[in-house]
Amino acid sequence: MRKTSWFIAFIILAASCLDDPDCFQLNNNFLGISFHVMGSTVADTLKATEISFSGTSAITADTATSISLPLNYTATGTDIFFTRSDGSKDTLKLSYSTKIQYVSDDCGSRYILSDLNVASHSFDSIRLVNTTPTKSGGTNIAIYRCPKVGMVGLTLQQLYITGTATQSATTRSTIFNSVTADFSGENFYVDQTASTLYLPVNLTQEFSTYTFDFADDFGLADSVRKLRLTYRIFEVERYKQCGNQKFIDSLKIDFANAATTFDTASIALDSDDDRLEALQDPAVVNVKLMRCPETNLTQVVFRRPGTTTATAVHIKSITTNYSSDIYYAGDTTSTVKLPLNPSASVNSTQFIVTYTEADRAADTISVSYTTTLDTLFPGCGPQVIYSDLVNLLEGGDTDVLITNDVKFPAVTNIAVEVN
Amino acid sequence: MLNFQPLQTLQLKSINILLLVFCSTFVFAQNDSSSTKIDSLEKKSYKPTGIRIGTDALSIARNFYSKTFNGWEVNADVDFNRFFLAVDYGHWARTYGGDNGDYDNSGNYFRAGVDVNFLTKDPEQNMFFIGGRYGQSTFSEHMRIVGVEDEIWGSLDKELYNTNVRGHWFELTTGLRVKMWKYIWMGYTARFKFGLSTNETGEMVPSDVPGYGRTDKESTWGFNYQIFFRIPVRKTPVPPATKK
Repeated sequence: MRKTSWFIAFIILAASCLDDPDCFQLNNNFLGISFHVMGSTVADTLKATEISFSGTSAITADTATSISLPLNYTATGTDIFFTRSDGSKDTLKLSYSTKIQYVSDDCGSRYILSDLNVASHSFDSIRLVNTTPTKSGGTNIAIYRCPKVGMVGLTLQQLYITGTATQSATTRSTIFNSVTADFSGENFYVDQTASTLYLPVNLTQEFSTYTFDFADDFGLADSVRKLRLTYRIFEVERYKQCGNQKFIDSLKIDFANAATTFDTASIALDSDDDRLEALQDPAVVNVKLMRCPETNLTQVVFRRPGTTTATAVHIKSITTNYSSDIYYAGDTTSTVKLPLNPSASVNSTQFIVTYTEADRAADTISVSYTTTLDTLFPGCGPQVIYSDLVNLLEGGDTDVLITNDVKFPAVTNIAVEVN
Repeated sequence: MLNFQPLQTLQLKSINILLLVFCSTFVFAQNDSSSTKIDSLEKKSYKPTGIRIGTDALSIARNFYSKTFNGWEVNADVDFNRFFLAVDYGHWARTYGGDNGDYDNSGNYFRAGVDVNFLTKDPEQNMFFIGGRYGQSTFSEHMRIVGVEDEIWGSLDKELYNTNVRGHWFELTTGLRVKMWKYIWMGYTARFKFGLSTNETGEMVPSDVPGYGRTDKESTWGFNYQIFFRIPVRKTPVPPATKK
């Protein structure tokens, strides 16, 4: 018993030594701010070109939906000045209590901030969420601004056929030469690639017209498409701090008189499957602009005899028996997508493939198929659906790999064996 | 509240101390199994049999090996059957100093509470106890920040005082009291301290409360190793031997 007591005494002596504290992030002098728009659940983005503080010449800038800013822990208040990218300015004046506590010889002291209070501000509205500043992360203040409705969101979608009766639509990134708002003449998205666009609407009239100049095949043959939107503009005081404001609802796509020339377009739906006919701030996607699938594209792969590996060939030209168009002239490729005769009354197509090598003979691809007219997408109307491909030159260099559907995006239907 | 100590270290220390406590109980368990049976007809007497007065040897030793600590503590307890009324009184002062400032405090404290003995059948009256304390301290402290500069906000130099600050807290205690020779007892007390409250009004938050320790934690452990002198008050009834 006595030996045990002495043993324990020495252990206690050793255990009684205190560990030194860590000296990491001692002060809780950071203010978390999140940005919102009244009436919206979507976070707002602050685009501040300059954020400055009282008591220091240091400045910062940020573009974010929430930020963390340092508070002056040598004082009991900090004034923060925001300058936005549009030149507008706002001020936030804060007060808080600051206490100091000694930590250790190595760490020195730490500053404890509490009782955060908004003394004054110039924002539309502010909500104090947490009165204790943080070491990092977290939100102390939510800043709300009055909604400013005036932007319509559009998304570009490609419609697909993935089976005999299976359709899908996916967002498609598209290259633009420009998008012009006809009511102002202003150009947007010049030489840019985008799948979702946000364009201003005409607030002086209840319609807006846009001209889309595509640099890729979204616009198909003529590369230019037009869109006309109609809507209702009304003024109401929805939020007391904001006074009377203009809002826009009853958004519609005007197809009359070829005012809208996209393959098809529709008003987008929200998560409750309600039509998004009202413009919102921040802007949401209200309109879907869709490109109908090309249902007559068949994919041809070139390969060495006895192998399944594709091989690149130097194509001089590919021609068809139904048009004078020339495809893939001068291209070096292992696969090509070729259009079958678009006429629903014709059940065969022939392609002639010539090569740049003088000693390589031309290849003929001749296929027959079944055509049916079907409306897979209401906006696209009846389209020719191709199925049951058959090689008309069986025993030659071509081989039909898949005999059934021609799909979009194209799948490999035909293989050509090249030496 | 900032927790300076890594959680794993605090947990390991706690586990180590608890393991020590459990090891000690096994030693006593052997003695208990061979102790005599108490006559079931003997009446319980709550009259004190003695008063123990002692001091914390660790506090005295710390004065010599620690450059930052200066203090002492006296302890006393009196038994009422298996219940012990315990009182502690002490003084401590701390002095810290670094390149960028210094800190010092000084004050007195007391603790009062009850321990419950779980070795009621030990003929040597050795004691393993669990108990509780209420602690209170009155102290003053001073801090200086020198030559510290923040890259955004500038100089942080400052001198601060807290005068006659009062703090109070609660403790859960456990430990041993072992009879070494005639009237000399030794033992240790492990303390789990929590619920600290201080009444400072100034800009400075207390860093160290005499009797409690660092204030940056919501709870903390403390240890004492005490030497007692027992003053008998009356003859201690000896449990009769078990009839075989």
